[in-house]
Amino acid sequence: MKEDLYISLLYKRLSGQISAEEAADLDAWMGQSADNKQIVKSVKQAWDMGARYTTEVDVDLDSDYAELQSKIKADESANSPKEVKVRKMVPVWRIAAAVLLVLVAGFLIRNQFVSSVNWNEVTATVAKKEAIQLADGTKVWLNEGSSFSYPEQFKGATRTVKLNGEAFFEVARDESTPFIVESSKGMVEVLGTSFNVIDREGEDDLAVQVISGKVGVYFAEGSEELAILIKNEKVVYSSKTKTLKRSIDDSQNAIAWKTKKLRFRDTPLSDAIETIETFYKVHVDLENKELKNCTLNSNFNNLDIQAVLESVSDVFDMELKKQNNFNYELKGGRCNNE
Amino acid sequence: MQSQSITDQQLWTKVSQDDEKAFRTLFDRYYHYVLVTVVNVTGDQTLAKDAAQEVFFELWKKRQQVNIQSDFKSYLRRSVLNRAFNHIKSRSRFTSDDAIVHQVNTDHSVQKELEKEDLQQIINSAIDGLPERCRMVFTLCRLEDMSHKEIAAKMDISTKTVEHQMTKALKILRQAVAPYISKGMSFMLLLEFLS
Repeated sequence: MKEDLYISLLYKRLSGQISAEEAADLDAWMGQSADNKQIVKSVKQAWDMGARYTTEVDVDLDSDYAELQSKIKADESANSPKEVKVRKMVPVWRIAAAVLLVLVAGFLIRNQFVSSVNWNEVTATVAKKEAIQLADGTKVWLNEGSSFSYPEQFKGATRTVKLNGEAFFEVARDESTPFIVESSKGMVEVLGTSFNVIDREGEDDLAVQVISGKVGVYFAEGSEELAILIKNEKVVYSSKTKTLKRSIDDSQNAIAWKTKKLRFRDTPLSDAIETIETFYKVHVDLENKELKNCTLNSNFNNLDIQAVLESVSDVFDMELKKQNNFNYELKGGRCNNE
Repeated sequence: MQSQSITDQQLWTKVSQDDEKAFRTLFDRYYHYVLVTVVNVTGDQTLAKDAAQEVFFELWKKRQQVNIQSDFKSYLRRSVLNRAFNHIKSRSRFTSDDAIVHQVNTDHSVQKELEKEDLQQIINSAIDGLPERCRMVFTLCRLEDMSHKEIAAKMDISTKTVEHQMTKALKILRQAVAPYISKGMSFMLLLEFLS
């Protein structure tokens, strides 16, 4: 596209690298139409404001300082000449696969439950806004209809918890003690930090999606298949067919229930509608089936269903009809090809 | 708290004398800043935390050897970005470069003229949505003021690619901003650019 060429020249001008010839070419193009001038204005705006970009980062200084302290102490004791070392210390920030325990069957883990520690059980009737904090600092957010059990203290060679339903985990780092989530259909061992697990009663699938870090997934029976997932990778294990399906999902829509953000990038409209239906718990009927594969590129941050559907109908020139609070219809429309 | 009045240099001198309280004060002062620096460039909070923890760990460990003459803040900034790049180099991949993300505004009925802050929000969101590699090139250019050569070196790509990614970023960002650049707005913008 011609526009790309001129944006490229404009970039050269803005970064002080344009030649006299290119500058003349650019000026000529600018003079050609009001539209071209508009393009230049908006690029300059983007350039200027881009320099003031910043993100919001939440941090718990006390907690992170404590983590830092434990690393320092671990390092100091590892290097102290006085102590008799039992174990060699491994650098704690290598995001490398630690030694993986190959678990053949679930009962190996279950045997470790013979302990005198108290277990707590939490059930969520609606998605919880606040995290459950475990003894090691791990945070767990439960989606609605889920129940979760965990010990008051973690003792033994692993940190094991049990889940039925859906939860999002942010696991505190401790490479010497693997964190394991047990569900009715399989186990998830954490090598990294945050991931979403879905194990619903009545459904045959166990789904795990990694949001950041690295996770190893093991299954209690049948396939013994081992999958290691990194950020944005997702795996669905069917306990019925005993097979594994891997995919990449970088939309982060799997944790939309927690973040309240939906992202669509080149997403087929029918898939996007399904995600919207699940998230808002409504039914949306797409009248014109020919639009099923039109692609949607939008982000929705914390919007209500009306705003989201109005926007979608706008993108495709559709008409939005609301039957009631749970039923919407998108009529007519056409794909836009850009 | 008295921590406000003491300078970075004074704190650092104390740290080099094994003063843990001074170390904690420096941590409280700059840890969040260091996190934001990495997240702005990479969009990866986990990576940011790893890099931030490493920087402070090394600071403490080498407290007697390191002599920070320059601005403490810039020292931290350079260190943490270097560590972040080391991590990135040891990983294999970036996600797809193909996505184009449009921003959606909530009000379609009226072509509103936005306040500057709202426009910044839109740009920020649009940058969040850039493909990983593209975003990194853009933030290294605009936030870290790195030259083509530097960016190319840090990211292990050619300078041509840097140029290409910048053009791509500007193209995407301008699409996000275009609906709000009306004639009235642009007059204000022109004044801003001139001043």
